[in-house]
Amino acid sequence: MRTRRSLAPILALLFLAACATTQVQKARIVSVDVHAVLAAVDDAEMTLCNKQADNTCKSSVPAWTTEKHVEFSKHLVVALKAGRALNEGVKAVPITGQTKADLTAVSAELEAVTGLVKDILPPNSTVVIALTAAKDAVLRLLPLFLEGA
Amino acid sequence: MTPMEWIALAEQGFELFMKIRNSAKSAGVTDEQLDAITLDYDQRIARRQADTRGGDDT
Repeated sequence: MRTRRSLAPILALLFLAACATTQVQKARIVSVDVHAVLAAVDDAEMTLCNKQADNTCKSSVPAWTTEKHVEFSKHLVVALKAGRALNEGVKAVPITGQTKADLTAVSAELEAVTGLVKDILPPNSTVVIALTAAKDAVLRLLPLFLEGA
Repeated sequence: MTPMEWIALAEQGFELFMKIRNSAKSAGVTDEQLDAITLDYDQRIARRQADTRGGDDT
């Protein structure tokens, strides 16, 4: 009986440590996911732009101009920086509120670039598909991330 | 897997990342893998920043 009582705090600590490890791993998987979707959006728009030697776009969609590409890039830089900060944030324990804010920033920039492509790119465009998948992923990840943080 | 190998995978696109994600889910994400992702972010940020400045992105 005495042995059981003396083991209880140790078992409780081991349980808490296991929970913390699981939460950290969840947050790390979220970071891998966020990177995957941002990379997909980045690559899809770069392909659409079809950059020429003079740094202009020669897109298969005429309305997707170099100016649109530059605007898109401005927003994507913010999203990529937030994704990078999130990725660095999940290395630390405990995960801070700033890391949660980074994921929210990614979401906001994805909305902004969605506004840019609206009425220009067809729904079956790779960029639109990648953006839709990215926004869906972030929405699904946010609650998981909050649980894990 | 080294960081450079992870970057090489990253360049092959989204589908491979989903494979990484699935392997990460089962095996856990290491610090080395997170470092590789940070390096990939750095390259993408530099490329996009070059675009916003109108400079060379190579």
